[in-house]
Amino acid sequence: MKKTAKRIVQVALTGILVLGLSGCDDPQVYGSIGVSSYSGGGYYGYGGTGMRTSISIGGRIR
Amino acid sequence: MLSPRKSLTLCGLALLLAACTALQTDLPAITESPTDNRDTGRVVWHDLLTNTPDASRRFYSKLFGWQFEDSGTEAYQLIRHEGKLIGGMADTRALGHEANVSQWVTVISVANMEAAVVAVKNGGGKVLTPPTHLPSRGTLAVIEDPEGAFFALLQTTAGDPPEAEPVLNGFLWDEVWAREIDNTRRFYQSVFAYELDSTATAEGDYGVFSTSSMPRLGLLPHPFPEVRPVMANYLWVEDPAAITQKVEALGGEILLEAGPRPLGGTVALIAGPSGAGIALQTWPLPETGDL
Repeated sequence: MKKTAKRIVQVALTGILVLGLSGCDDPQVYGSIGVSSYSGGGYYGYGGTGMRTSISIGGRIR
Repeated sequence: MLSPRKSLTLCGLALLLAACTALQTDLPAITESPTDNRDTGRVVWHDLLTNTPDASRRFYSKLFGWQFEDSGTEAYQLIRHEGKLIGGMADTRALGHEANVSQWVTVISVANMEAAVVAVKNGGGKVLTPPTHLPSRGTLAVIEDPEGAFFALLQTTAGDPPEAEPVLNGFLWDEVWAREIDNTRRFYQSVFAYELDSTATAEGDYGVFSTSSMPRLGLLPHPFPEVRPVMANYLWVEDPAAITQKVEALGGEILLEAGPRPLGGTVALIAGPSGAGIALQTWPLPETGDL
């Protein structure tokens, strides 16, 4: 019984450590962007290539 | 009983985990001179999400003279320009998914995160990352506006940076490229209590959101309607054409060649090595009076 409990504690500790270490140093606050909104893929902020046109964009005016 | 060796190993791993957990849930403060003020609606920071951090660092260092420095978190670096913190760079390879989410994220200050999040939801936006407490930086939430443009809200821990004049080769402006202008205007005004001034141009009305008479954010009919709405970011450069000449050699891409714009001055649109786009413009504008 004691041996089994010890084993469970060891496995649980190992699991917690593995889970924790796998996320170490991740900028996780931005992880939601890729998960929920990029299902189509290929998005590079402004749509990628093929935009070399004479279209006007904005910018600061005051 | 665990053997002394096993106990030591577990203790060591537990300490490592504790350290990692601390790193994982914090990012450095955005200023070394916090004001203790939180100016709702003011753009206070920019984070570059990139899956090519080394190439991105070289790209921005060479083009704009920015310095990158360790933040204490391996997947996140701070960006400094002329001695001042201006942004951060996050390695998206650490996010654990395949999508290329490379882009600049505009971070906007709020004094009351709870109220801002309620306004986002009521206005038809989505809260992608719920308010997350990062002890050094503040409480941060990642938002998608009703048309799908991303930005982040931040209630700073110690206060926003002092207001400062734009610096050459630094951030100058941010604007929303929207398809449904009226709906988008209502959304941003409800979240940030912005006032709006519109300037008529040959390309249509250009909106300037402001608080306390300070211009904060632009609103523009989407110049590329087929592309997802975005919050565009502008750097102040002396000569956009001179910059674009160097872009491809550094692994970037020219999205829009440098040229005059109806609002005055010169503008170009480029992408860094990861594909994250950023606009370049001259400033101050020539006083032509023909806006």
